[in-house]
Amino acid sequence: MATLALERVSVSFGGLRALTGVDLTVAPAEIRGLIGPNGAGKSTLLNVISGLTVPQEGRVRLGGDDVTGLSPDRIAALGVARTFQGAALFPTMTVLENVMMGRHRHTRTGLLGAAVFSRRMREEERDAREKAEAALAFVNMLEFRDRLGGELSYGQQRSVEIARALALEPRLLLLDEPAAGLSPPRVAALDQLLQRVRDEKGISVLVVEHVLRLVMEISDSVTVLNSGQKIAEGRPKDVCADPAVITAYLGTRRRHA
Amino acid sequence: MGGLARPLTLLPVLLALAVLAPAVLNPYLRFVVTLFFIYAVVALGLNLLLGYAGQFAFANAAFFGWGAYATSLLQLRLDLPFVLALPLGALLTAGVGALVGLPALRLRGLYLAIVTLAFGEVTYWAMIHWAGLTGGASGLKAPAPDFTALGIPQGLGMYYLCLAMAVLLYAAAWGIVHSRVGRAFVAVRDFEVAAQALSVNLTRAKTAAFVLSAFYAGVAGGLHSATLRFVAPESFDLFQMVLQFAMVVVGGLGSVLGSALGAALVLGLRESLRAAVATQEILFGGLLIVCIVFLPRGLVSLLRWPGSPWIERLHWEPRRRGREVATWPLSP
Repeated sequence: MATLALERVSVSFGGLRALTGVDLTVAPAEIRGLIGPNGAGKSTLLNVISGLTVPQEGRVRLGGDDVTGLSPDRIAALGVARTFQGAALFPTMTVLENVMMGRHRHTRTGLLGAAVFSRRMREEERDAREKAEAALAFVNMLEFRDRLGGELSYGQQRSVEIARALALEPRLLLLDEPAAGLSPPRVAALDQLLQRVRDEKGISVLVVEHVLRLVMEISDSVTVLNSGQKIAEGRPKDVCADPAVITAYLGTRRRHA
Repeated sequence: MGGLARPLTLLPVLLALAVLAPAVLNPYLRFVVTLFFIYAVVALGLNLLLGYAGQFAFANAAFFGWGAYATSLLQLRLDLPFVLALPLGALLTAGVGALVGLPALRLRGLYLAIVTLAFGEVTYWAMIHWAGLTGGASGLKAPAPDFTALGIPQGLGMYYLCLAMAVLLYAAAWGIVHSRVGRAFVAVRDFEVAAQALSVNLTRAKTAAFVLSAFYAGVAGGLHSATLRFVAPESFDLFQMVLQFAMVVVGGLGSVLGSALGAALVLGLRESLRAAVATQEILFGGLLIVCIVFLPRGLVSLLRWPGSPWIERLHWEPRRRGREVATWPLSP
Protein backbone atom coordinates (compact mmCIF):
# COMPACT_ATOMS: atom_id res chain seq x y z
CA MET A 1 0.00 0.00 0.00
CA ALA A 2 1.21 3.49 -0.78
CA THR A 3 2.70 5.42 2.11
CA LEU A 4 0.94 8.53 0.90
CA ALA A 5 -1.88 9.01 -1.56
CA LEU A 6 -3.35 12.35 -2.60
CA GLU A 7 -6.60 12.07 -4.53
CA ARG A 8 -7.71 14.97 -6.72
CA VAL A 9 -6.60 17.59 -4.23
CA SER A 10 -7.66 21.17 -4.93
CA VAL A 11 -6.79 24.26 -2.92
CA SER A 12 -7.63 27.85 -3.62
CA PHE A 13 -6.87 30.98 -1.67
CA GLY A 14 -9.61 33.43 -2.42
CA GLY A 15 -9.77 33.47 -6.19
CA LEU A 16 -6.31 32.02 -6.63
CA ARG A 17 -6.29 28.34 -7.47
CA ALA A 18 -3.09 26.99 -5.93
CA LEU A 19 -3.73 23.33 -6.68
CA THR A 20 -6.20 21.81 -9.12
CA GLY A 21 -7.12 18.13 -8.91
CA VAL A 22 -3.65 16.84 -8.06
CA ASP A 23 -3.12 13.09 -7.65
CA LEU A 24 0.07 11.85 -6.09
CA THR A 25 1.20 8.59 -4.53
CA VAL A 26 4.44 7.90 -2.74
CA ALA A 27 5.46 4.27 -2.37
CA PRO A 28 7.20 2.86 0.72
CA ALA A 29 10.95 3.60 0.80
CA GLU A 30 10.73 5.74 -2.30
CA ILE A 31 12.30 9.13 -2.91
CA ARG A 32 9.82 11.21 -4.83
CA GLY A 33 10.93 14.51 -6.27
CA LEU A 34 8.41 17.30 -6.60
CA ILE A 35 9.49 20.05 -8.93
CA GLY A 36 8.03 22.98 -10.75
CA PRO A 37 8.64 26.64 -11.40
CA ASN A 38 7.96 29.34 -8.80
CA GLY A 39 4.33 29.46 -7.77
CA ALA A 40 3.60 25.99 -9.12
CA GLY A 41 1.98 24.95 -5.83
CA LYS A 42 4.80 22.76 -4.46
CA SER A 43 4.84 24.25 -0.96
CA THR A 44 1.05 24.29 -0.85
CA LEU A 45 1.09 20.59 -1.63
CA LEU A 46 3.47 19.94 1.28
CA ASN A 47 1.26 22.04 3.53
CA VAL A 48 -1.77 19.98 2.53
CA ILE A 49 0.04 16.76 3.41
CA SER A 50 1.25 18.08 6.77
CA GLY A 51 -2.15 19.51 7.64
CA LEU A 52 -1.30 23.21 7.58
CA THR A 53 -3.65 23.77 4.67
CA VAL A 54 -6.96 21.96 4.39
CA PRO A 55 -7.89 21.20 0.77
CA GLN A 56 -11.32 22.31 -0.47
CA GLU A 57 -11.57 19.13 -2.52
CA GLY A 58 -9.88 15.76 -2.52
CA ARG A 59 -8.53 13.38 0.08
CA VAL A 60 -5.20 12.78 1.74
CA ARG A 61 -4.48 9.20 2.75
CA LEU A 62 -1.63 7.88 4.86
CA GLY A 63 -1.14 4.15 4.48
CA GLY A 64 -4.83 3.85 3.65
CA ASP A 65 -6.16 6.03 6.49
CA ASP A 66 -7.98 9.20 5.50
CA VAL A 67 -6.22 12.08 7.27
CA THR A 68 -7.85 14.95 5.36
CA GLY A 69 -8.54 17.85 7.70
CA LEU A 70 -6.61 16.53 10.68
CA SER A 71 -4.56 19.14 12.56
CA PRO A 72 -0.80 19.29 11.87
CA ASP A 73 0.11 17.84 15.26
CA ARG A 74 -2.18 14.85 14.72
CA ILE A 75 -0.66 14.21 11.31
CA ALA A 76 2.84 14.50 12.78
CA ALA A 77 1.81 12.04 15.47
CA LEU A 78 0.82 9.64 12.69
CA GLY A 79 4.38 9.66 11.42
CA VAL A 80 4.77 12.53 8.98
CA ALA A 81 7.85 14.67 9.61
CA ARG A 82 8.80 17.75 7.66
CA THR A 83 11.37 20.46 7.34
CA PHE A 84 10.70 24.07 6.40
CA GLN A 85 12.11 26.50 3.91
CA GLY A 86 14.83 28.45 5.64
CA ALA A 87 16.31 27.27 8.90
CA ALA A 88 13.62 26.41 11.41
CA LEU A 89 15.60 25.37 14.49
CA PHE A 90 14.49 26.67 17.87
CA PRO A 91 17.25 29.23 18.45
CA THR A 92 17.47 29.14 22.25
CA MET A 93 17.51 25.36 22.49
CA THR A 94 20.70 23.38 22.10
CA VAL A 95 21.09 21.21 19.04
CA LEU A 96 20.38 18.17 21.20
CA GLU A 97 17.21 19.70 22.68
CA ASN A 98 16.07 20.62 19.19
CA VAL A 99 16.39 17.01 18.10
CA MET A 100 14.77 15.81 21.33
CA MET A 101 11.70 17.77 20.21
CA GLY A 102 11.42 15.08 17.55
CA ARG A 103 10.76 12.59 20.35
CA HIS A 104 7.68 14.48 21.51
CA ARG A 105 5.46 12.06 19.63
CA HIS A 106 6.98 9.09 21.46
CA THR A 107 6.80 10.45 25.01
CA ARG A 108 3.88 10.97 27.38
CA THR A 109 5.11 12.83 30.49
CA GLY A 110 2.65 15.51 31.55
CA LEU A 111 2.89 18.58 33.77
CA LEU A 112 2.48 16.65 37.01
CA GLY A 113 4.92 13.91 36.11
CA ALA A 114 7.54 16.48 35.14
CA ALA A 115 6.91 18.53 38.30
CA VAL A 116 7.70 15.57 40.58
CA PHE A 117 10.54 14.18 38.41
CA SER A 118 8.55 10.98 37.98
CA ARG A 119 10.35 7.81 36.99
CA ARG A 120 8.62 7.91 33.62
CA MET A 121 9.90 11.44 33.07
CA ARG A 122 13.49 10.43 33.84
CA GLU A 123 13.27 7.31 31.69
CA GLU A 124 11.69 9.20 28.79
CA GLU A 125 14.32 11.92 29.04
CA ARG A 126 17.14 9.40 28.97
CA ASP A 127 15.59 7.54 26.05
CA ALA A 128 14.86 10.76 24.15
CA ARG A 129 18.44 11.88 24.64
CA GLU A 130 19.84 8.59 23.37
CA LYS A 131 17.58 8.55 20.32
CA ALA A 132 18.35 12.20 19.60
CA GLU A 133 22.07 11.51 19.80
CA ALA A 134 21.65 8.61 17.40
CA ALA A 135 19.79 10.87 14.96
CA LEU A 136 22.52 13.50 15.24
CA ALA A 137 25.17 10.86 14.60
CA PHE A 138 23.22 9.75 11.52
CA VAL A 139 23.56 13.22 9.99
CA ASN A 140 27.14 13.65 11.27
CA MET A 141 26.24 16.50 13.62
CA LEU A 142 26.83 14.84 17.01
CA GLU A 143 29.81 17.06 17.80
CA PHE A 144 27.49 20.12 17.75
CA ARG A 145 25.07 18.68 20.29
CA ASP A 146 25.63 21.32 22.97
CA ARG A 147 25.70 24.35 20.70
CA LEU A 148 22.65 26.58 20.48
CA GLY A 149 20.42 26.13 17.45
CA GLY A 150 20.76 29.81 16.59
CA GLU A 151 24.57 29.66 16.57
CA LEU A 152 24.93 27.20 13.72
CA SER A 153 25.51 28.05 10.09
CA TYR A 154 22.62 27.73 7.71
CA GLY A 155 23.84 24.44 6.27
CA GLN A 156 24.44 22.98 9.73
CA GLN A 157 20.95 24.01 10.81
CA ARG A 158 19.50 22.19 7.81
CA SER A 159 21.30 18.99 8.83
CA VAL A 160 20.04 19.29 12.42
CA GLU A 161 16.55 19.93 11.15
CA ILE A 162 16.68 16.67 9.21
CA ALA A 163 17.97 14.89 12.33
CA ARG A 164 15.05 16.35 14.27
CA ALA A 165 12.62 15.07 11.67
CA LEU A 166 14.27 11.63 11.72
CA ALA A 167 14.06 11.48 15.54
CA LEU A 168 10.30 11.49 15.07
CA GLU A 169 10.77 8.09 13.33
CA PRO A 170 8.46 9.06 10.50
CA ARG A 171 7.14 6.84 7.76
CA LEU A 172 7.10 9.84 5.46
CA LEU A 173 9.62 12.67 5.43
CA LEU A 174 8.70 15.91 3.66
CA LEU A 175 11.56 18.20 2.71
CA ASP A 176 10.87 21.73 1.53
CA GLU A 177 13.78 22.88 -0.63
CA PRO A 178 16.53 21.23 1.43
CA ALA A 179 19.28 22.21 -1.02
CA ALA A 180 18.40 25.90 -1.30
CA GLY A 181 21.40 28.04 -0.41
CA LEU A 182 23.75 25.11 0.16
CA SER A 183 27.26 24.93 -1.26
CA PRO A 184 27.92 22.18 -3.87
CA PRO A 185 29.77 19.86 -1.44
CA ARG A 186 26.89 20.17 1.01
CA VAL A 187 24.40 19.37 -1.72
CA ALA A 188 26.42 16.24 -2.49
CA ALA A 189 26.34 15.28 1.20
CA LEU A 190 22.59 15.85 1.24
CA ASP A 191 22.28 13.54 -1.79
CA GLN A 192 23.96 10.77 0.12
CA LEU A 193 22.07 11.46 3.33
CA LEU A 194 18.66 11.21 1.66
CA GLN A 195 19.63 7.96 -0.04
CA ARG A 196 20.72 6.57 3.35
CA VAL A 197 17.39 7.67 4.83
CA ARG A 198 15.63 5.64 2.17
CA ASP A 199 17.94 2.62 2.11
CA GLU A 200 18.86 2.24 5.79
CA LYS A 201 15.69 3.45 7.47
CA GLY A 202 13.16 2.58 4.80
CA ILE A 203 11.49 5.98 5.05
CA SER A 204 9.58 7.44 2.12
CA VAL A 205 10.84 10.88 1.18
CA LEU A 206 8.99 13.59 -0.68
CA VAL A 207 11.40 16.32 -1.61
CA VAL A 208 10.34 19.66 -3.05
CA GLU A 209 13.22 21.21 -4.86
CA HIS A 210 13.85 24.17 -7.01
CA VAL A 211 17.31 22.96 -7.91
CA LEU A 212 16.80 20.19 -10.44
CA ARG A 213 20.17 18.48 -10.15
CA LEU A 214 19.60 17.04 -6.68
CA VAL A 215 16.15 15.79 -7.51
CA MET A 216 17.20 14.20 -10.77
CA GLU A 217 20.11 12.38 -9.16
CA ILE A 218 18.40 10.79 -6.19
CA SER A 219 14.70 10.54 -6.97
CA ASP A 220 13.15 7.23 -7.86
CA SER A 221 10.41 9.17 -9.56
CA VAL A 222 9.56 12.79 -10.15
CA THR A 223 6.32 14.73 -10.25
CA VAL A 224 6.17 18.07 -12.02
CA LEU A 225 3.67 20.76 -11.08
CA ASN A 226 2.91 23.87 -13.04
CA SER A 227 0.27 26.44 -12.12
CA GLY A 228 -1.23 24.04 -9.58
CA GLN A 229 -1.58 21.15 -11.98
CA LYS A 230 0.41 18.00 -12.47
CA ILE A 231 1.94 18.15 -15.93
CA ALA A 232 4.29 15.17 -15.85
CA GLU A 233 5.30 12.23 -13.72
CA GLY A 234 7.76 9.39 -14.08
CA ARG A 235 11.42 8.45 -13.99
CA PRO A 236 13.74 11.47 -13.76
CA LYS A 237 15.24 11.17 -17.23
CA ASP A 238 11.86 10.72 -18.91
CA VAL A 239 10.47 13.73 -17.10
CA CYS A 240 13.46 15.80 -18.15
CA ALA A 241 12.79 15.06 -21.76
CA ASP A 242 9.06 15.75 -21.54
CA PRO A 243 8.15 18.68 -23.81
CA ALA A 244 5.53 19.96 -21.36
CA VAL A 245 8.19 20.20 -18.63
CA ILE A 246 10.63 21.98 -20.88
CA THR A 247 7.93 24.43 -21.84
CA ALA A 248 7.01 25.06 -18.22
CA TYR A 249 10.61 25.75 -17.24
CA LEU A 250 11.93 27.51 -20.32
CA GLY A 251 8.83 28.85 -21.99
CA THR A 252 8.11 28.56 -25.71
CA ARG A 253 10.16 30.06 -28.45
CA ARG A 254 8.64 33.22 -29.75
CA ARG A 255 8.79 33.80 -33.47
CA HIS A 256 10.13 37.10 -34.56
CA ALA A 257 8.04 38.77 -37.09
CA MET B 1 22.80 19.61 28.75
CA GLY B 2 19.10 19.04 28.29
CA GLY B 3 18.55 16.57 31.07
CA LEU B 4 18.21 17.03 34.77
CA ALA B 5 21.27 19.19 35.24
CA ARG B 6 21.92 20.13 38.81
CA PRO B 7 21.69 23.88 38.90
CA LEU B 8 23.76 25.09 41.72
CA THR B 9 26.52 23.78 43.91
CA LEU B 10 25.63 26.51 46.40
CA LEU B 11 22.03 25.39 46.67
CA PRO B 12 22.39 23.56 50.03
CA VAL B 13 24.20 26.58 51.48
CA LEU B 14 21.44 28.97 50.38
CA LEU B 15 18.79 26.64 51.79
CA ALA B 16 20.59 26.39 55.13
CA LEU B 17 20.87 30.19 55.22
CA ALA B 18 17.12 30.56 54.55
CA VAL B 19 16.29 28.06 57.29
CA LEU B 20 18.57 29.71 59.86
CA ALA B 21 17.93 33.36 58.91
CA PRO B 22 14.91 33.97 61.21
CA ALA B 23 17.26 33.61 64.18
CA VAL B 24 18.95 36.89 63.27
CA LEU B 25 16.17 38.74 61.41
CA ASN B 26 13.96 41.23 63.19
CA PRO B 27 10.20 40.67 62.69
CA TYR B 28 9.96 43.31 59.96
CA LEU B 29 12.81 41.84 57.92
CA ARG B 30 11.43 38.36 58.47
CA PHE B 31 8.12 39.59 57.10
CA VAL B 32 9.86 41.08 54.05
CA VAL B 33 11.70 37.83 53.36
CA THR B 34 8.40 35.95 53.71
CA LEU B 35 6.95 38.29 51.10
CA PHE B 36 9.98 37.59 48.93
CA PHE B 37 9.21 33.84 48.99
CA ILE B 38 5.63 34.62 47.95
CA TYR B 39 6.63 36.94 45.12
CA ALA B 40 9.34 34.54 43.98
CA VAL B 41 6.55 32.00 43.43
CA VAL B 42 4.20 34.35 41.59
CA ALA B 43 7.05 35.66 39.41
CA LEU B 44 8.07 32.14 38.52
CA GLY B 45 4.52 31.35 37.43
CA LEU B 46 4.44 34.43 35.22
CA ASN B 47 7.85 33.56 33.80
CA LEU B 48 6.69 30.08 32.78
CA LEU B 49 3.83 31.67 30.85
CA LEU B 50 5.57 34.75 29.46
CA GLY B 51 9.22 33.78 29.30
CA TYR B 52 8.97 30.12 28.33
CA ALA B 53 5.63 29.72 26.57
CA GLY B 54 5.78 33.26 25.15
CA GLN B 55 2.15 34.08 25.92
CA PHE B 56 1.85 37.83 26.23
CA ALA B 57 -0.73 37.67 29.02
CA PHE B 58 -1.35 40.12 31.82
CA ALA B 59 -3.85 38.33 34.01
CA ASN B 60 -1.35 37.28 36.65
CA ALA B 61 -2.21 40.00 39.18
CA ALA B 62 -5.82 38.89 38.91
CA PHE B 63 -4.82 35.23 39.42
CA PHE B 64 -2.88 36.35 42.49
CA GLY B 65 -6.09 37.99 43.74
CA TRP B 66 -8.20 34.95 42.93
CA GLY B 67 -5.89 32.82 45.05
CA ALA B 68 -5.98 35.29 47.93
CA TYR B 69 -9.77 35.71 47.97
CA ALA B 70 -10.49 32.04 47.31
CA THR B 71 -8.25 30.85 50.13
CA SER B 72 -9.72 33.37 52.56
CA LEU B 73 -13.35 32.87 51.57
CA LEU B 74 -13.09 29.08 51.67
CA GLN B 75 -12.06 29.46 55.29
CA LEU B 76 -14.54 32.21 56.18
CA ARG B 77 -17.61 30.92 54.36
CA LEU B 78 -17.10 27.15 54.32
CA ASP B 79 -15.09 26.86 57.52
CA LEU B 80 -12.43 24.88 55.73
CA PRO B 81 -9.07 24.65 57.49
CA PHE B 82 -6.16 26.51 55.90
CA VAL B 83 -4.42 23.29 54.85
CA LEU B 84 -7.41 22.55 52.60
CA ALA B 85 -8.29 26.11 51.63
CA LEU B 86 -4.83 26.87 50.23
CA PRO B 87 -4.62 23.98 47.75
CA LEU B 88 -8.31 24.28 46.84
CA GLY B 89 -7.95 28.01 46.27
CA ALA B 90 -4.92 27.37 44.07
CA LEU B 91 -6.74 24.69 42.07
CA LEU B 92 -9.73 26.98 41.62
CA THR B 93 -7.37 29.69 40.36
CA ALA B 94 -5.78 27.17 38.00
CA GLY B 95 -9.25 26.45 36.62
CA VAL B 96 -9.80 30.17 36.06
CA GLY B 97 -6.40 30.19 34.35
CA ALA B 98 -7.58 27.51 31.92
CA LEU B 99 -10.59 29.69 31.00
CA VAL B 100 -8.48 32.82 30.58
CA GLY B 101 -6.18 30.77 28.37
CA LEU B 102 -9.00 30.08 25.91
CA PRO B 103 -8.61 33.35 23.97
CA ALA B 104 -4.87 32.63 23.74
CA LEU B 105 -5.73 29.80 21.40
CA ARG B 106 -6.86 32.37 18.86
CA LEU B 107 -5.11 35.60 19.82
CA ARG B 108 -1.48 36.45 20.17
CA GLY B 109 0.77 39.35 20.94
CA LEU B 110 -0.89 42.64 21.77
CA TYR B 111 -4.42 41.30 21.23
CA LEU B 112 -3.90 38.65 23.87
CA ALA B 113 -2.34 41.28 26.15
CA ILE B 114 -5.45 43.47 25.86
CA VAL B 115 -7.92 40.64 26.50
CA THR B 116 -6.03 39.39 29.56
CA LEU B 117 -5.59 42.93 30.85
CA ALA B 118 -9.35 43.37 30.54
CA PHE B 119 -9.86 40.18 32.54
CA GLY B 120 -7.64 41.66 35.25
CA GLU B 121 -9.65 44.87 35.32
CA VAL B 122 -12.98 43.00 35.51
CA THR B 123 -11.64 40.93 38.39
CA TYR B 124 -10.48 44.10 40.14
CA TRP B 125 -13.87 45.73 39.57
CA ALA B 126 -15.66 42.68 41.00
CA MET B 127 -13.44 42.70 44.08
CA ILE B 128 -14.47 46.28 44.78
CA HIS B 129 -18.14 46.11 43.85
CA TRP B 130 -19.21 42.63 44.89
CA ALA B 131 -19.02 43.84 48.47
CA GLY B 132 -21.32 41.13 49.83
CA LEU B 133 -18.73 38.51 49.02
CA THR B 134 -15.43 40.34 48.96
CA GLY B 135 -15.95 43.04 51.55
CA GLY B 136 -15.59 45.70 48.88
CA ALA B 137 -12.85 48.26 48.73
CA SER B 138 -12.06 47.93 52.42
CA GLY B 139 -11.29 44.26 52.00
CA LEU B 140 -11.52 41.24 54.24
CA LYS B 141 -9.83 40.20 57.41
CA ALA B 142 -8.25 36.96 56.29
CA PRO B 143 -7.89 34.05 58.66
CA ALA B 144 -4.36 32.89 59.29
CA PRO B 145 -3.20 29.33 59.85
CA ASP B 146 -2.61 28.32 63.42
CA PHE B 147 0.87 27.09 64.20
CA THR B 148 0.40 26.70 67.96
CA ALA B 149 0.17 22.93 67.60
CA LEU B 150 3.75 23.05 66.32
CA GLY B 151 4.75 25.38 69.09
CA ILE B 152 5.95 28.20 66.85
CA PRO B 153 4.59 31.73 66.59
CA GLN B 154 2.46 32.74 63.61
CA GLY B 155 4.99 34.98 61.85
CA LEU B 156 7.73 32.37 62.07
CA GLY B 157 5.29 29.68 60.95
CA MET B 158 4.35 31.67 57.85
CA TYR B 159 8.04 32.23 57.10
CA TYR B 160 8.75 28.50 57.02
CA LEU B 161 5.52 27.65 55.23
CA CYS B 162 6.28 30.16 52.47
CA LEU B 163 9.88 28.96 52.27
CA ALA B 164 8.74 25.36 51.94
CA MET B 165 6.18 26.19 49.23
CA ALA B 166 8.73 28.24 47.30
CA VAL B 167 11.31 25.43 47.41
CA LEU B 168 8.70 22.89 46.30
CA LEU B 169 7.37 25.01 43.46
CA TYR B 170 10.86 25.95 42.24
CA ALA B 171 11.84 22.29 42.17
CA ALA B 172 8.65 21.49 40.26
CA ALA B 173 9.34 24.24 37.73
CA TRP B 174 12.88 22.96 37.29
CA GLY B 175 11.48 19.55 36.39
CA ILE B 176 8.90 21.02 34.04
CA VAL B 177 11.28 23.23 32.06
CA HIS B 178 13.70 20.33 31.66
CA SER B 179 11.03 17.96 30.39
CA ARG B 180 9.19 17.56 27.11
CA VAL B 181 6.53 19.92 28.50
CA GLY B 182 8.99 22.77 28.98
CA ARG B 183 10.60 22.16 25.59
CA ALA B 184 7.16 22.26 24.00
CA PHE B 185 6.54 25.66 25.69
CA VAL B 186 9.71 27.09 24.18
CA ALA B 187 8.95 25.53 20.80
CA VAL B 188 5.49 27.09 20.77
CA ARG B 189 6.99 30.44 21.70
CA ASP B 190 9.69 30.37 19.02
CA PHE B 191 7.87 28.82 16.11
CA GLU B 192 4.33 27.51 16.43
CA VAL B 193 4.20 25.90 13.01
CA ALA B 194 7.39 23.91 13.57
CA ALA B 195 6.18 22.89 17.04
CA GLN B 196 2.97 21.53 15.52
CA ALA B 197 4.91 19.71 12.83
CA LEU B 198 6.71 17.95 15.69
CA SER B 199 3.35 16.76 17.06
CA VAL B 200 3.00 19.43 19.77
CA ASN B 201 -0.68 20.12 20.43
CA LEU B 202 -0.86 23.93 20.63
CA THR B 203 -4.10 23.95 22.59
CA ARG B 204 -2.71 21.62 25.19
CA ALA B 205 0.64 23.41 25.49
CA LYS B 206 -0.88 26.88 25.84
CA THR B 207 -3.56 25.74 28.26
CA ALA B 208 -0.93 23.98 30.35
CA ALA B 209 1.10 27.19 30.54
CA PHE B 210 -1.93 29.23 31.64
CA VAL B 211 -3.00 26.63 34.20
CA LEU B 212 0.51 26.46 35.57
CA SER B 213 0.97 30.21 35.97
CA ALA B 214 -2.48 30.57 37.53
CA PHE B 215 -1.74 27.73 39.95
CA TYR B 216 1.52 29.37 41.04
CA ALA B 217 -0.23 32.73 41.43
CA GLY B 218 -3.06 31.00 43.33
CA VAL B 219 -0.71 29.43 45.86
CA ALA B 220 1.14 32.73 46.23
CA GLY B 221 -2.15 34.60 46.68
CA GLY B 222 -3.29 32.23 49.41
CA LEU B 223 0.03 32.61 51.22
CA HIS B 224 -0.14 36.39 50.76
CA SER B 225 -3.55 36.63 52.42
CA ALA B 226 -2.42 34.44 55.32
CA THR B 227 0.79 36.40 55.80
CA LEU B 228 -0.91 39.80 55.76
CA ARG B 229 -4.05 38.45 57.46
CA PHE B 230 -5.85 40.83 55.19
CA VAL B 231 -7.12 40.84 51.60
CA ALA B 232 -7.99 44.01 49.71
CA PRO B 233 -8.49 44.80 46.02
CA GLU B 234 -5.65 47.33 45.93
CA SER B 235 -3.13 44.49 46.27
CA PHE B 236 -4.22 43.17 42.88
CA ASP B 237 -4.48 46.25 40.71
CA LEU B 238 -2.60 47.24 37.58
CA PHE B 239 0.42 48.29 39.62
CA GLN B 240 0.66 44.74 40.95
CA MET B 241 0.80 43.56 37.33
CA VAL B 242 3.55 46.08 36.56
CA LEU B 243 5.43 44.85 39.62
CA GLN B 244 5.26 41.21 38.55
CA PHE B 245 6.13 42.07 34.97
CA ALA B 246 9.13 44.06 36.21
CA MET B 247 10.24 41.07 38.30
CA VAL B 248 10.44 38.65 35.39
CA VAL B 249 11.94 41.15 32.95
CA VAL B 250 14.53 42.41 35.43
CA GLY B 251 15.35 38.94 36.70
CA GLY B 252 15.46 37.26 33.32
CA LEU B 253 12.75 35.92 31.04
CA GLY B 254 12.99 32.22 30.35
CA SER B 255 14.94 31.50 33.52
CA VAL B 256 13.90 29.77 36.73
CA LEU B 257 16.44 31.52 38.94
CA GLY B 258 15.84 34.85 37.20
CA SER B 259 12.29 34.88 38.59
CA ALA B 260 13.64 34.79 42.15
CA LEU B 261 16.38 37.36 41.47
CA GLY B 262 13.87 39.76 39.93
CA ALA B 263 11.43 39.26 42.81
CA ALA B 264 14.22 40.02 45.29
CA LEU B 265 15.36 43.20 43.56
CA VAL B 266 11.92 44.64 42.83
CA LEU B 267 10.53 43.77 46.24
CA GLY B 268 13.65 45.13 47.92
CA LEU B 269 13.22 48.39 46.03
CA ARG B 270 9.54 48.61 46.91
CA GLU B 271 10.24 48.08 50.59
CA SER B 272 13.09 50.58 50.71
CA LEU B 273 10.88 53.16 48.99
CA ARG B 274 7.97 52.71 51.41
CA ALA B 275 8.54 56.29 52.60
CA ALA B 276 8.38 57.72 49.07
CA VAL B 277 5.51 55.90 47.41
CA ALA B 278 5.21 58.55 44.72
CA THR B 279 8.67 57.76 43.37
CA GLN B 280 8.03 54.01 43.17
CA GLU B 281 6.33 53.97 39.82
CA ILE B 282 8.91 56.25 38.25
CA LEU B 283 11.69 54.11 39.63
CA PHE B 284 10.18 50.84 38.44
CA GLY B 285 9.67 52.32 35.01
CA GLY B 286 13.28 53.48 34.99
CA LEU B 287 14.50 50.10 36.20
CA LEU B 288 12.63 48.35 33.39
CA ILE B 289 14.12 50.66 30.77
CA VAL B 290 17.65 50.29 32.14
CA CYS B 291 17.30 46.51 32.21
CA ILE B 292 15.87 46.22 28.72
CA VAL B 293 18.61 48.42 27.27
CA PHE B 294 21.66 47.29 29.23
CA LEU B 295 20.71 43.87 30.57
CA PRO B 296 18.19 42.43 28.13
CA ARG B 297 18.64 38.91 29.42
CA GLY B 298 18.08 40.03 32.97
CA LEU B 299 20.06 39.82 36.20
CA VAL B 300 20.51 36.10 35.76
CA SER B 301 22.69 36.71 32.72
CA LEU B 302 25.31 38.18 35.07
CA LEU B 303 25.77 34.65 36.43
CA ARG B 304 27.04 33.26 33.16
CA TRP B 305 30.74 32.58 33.11
CA PRO B 306 32.75 29.35 33.06
CA GLY B 307 32.58 27.81 36.49
CA SER B 308 29.63 29.93 37.56
CA PRO B 309 27.83 28.52 40.59
CA TRP B 310 24.56 28.59 38.67
CA ILE B 311 24.12 26.38 35.63
CA GLU B 312 20.90 27.03 33.81
CA ARG B 313 20.20 27.22 30.13
CA LEU B 314 18.46 30.52 29.55
CA HIS B 315 15.63 30.28 27.10
CA TRP B 316 15.51 33.84 25.96
CA GLU B 317 16.99 35.58 22.98
CA PRO B 318 16.20 39.29 23.26
CA ARG B 319 16.92 40.15 19.64
CA ARG B 320 15.44 37.24 17.85
CA ARG B 321 15.30 37.82 14.17
CA GLY B 322 11.92 37.65 12.55
CA ARG B 323 11.34 34.35 10.85
CA GLU B 324 9.99 34.17 7.40
CA VAL B 325 8.56 30.85 6.53
CA ALA B 326 6.75 29.98 3.37
CA THR B 327 3.88 28.50 5.33
CA TRP B 328 3.35 31.56 7.48
CA PRO B 329 0.59 33.45 5.63
CA LEU B 330 -1.15 30.19 4.87
CA SER B 331 -1.13 28.73 8.36
CA PRO B 332 -4.41 28.80 10.26
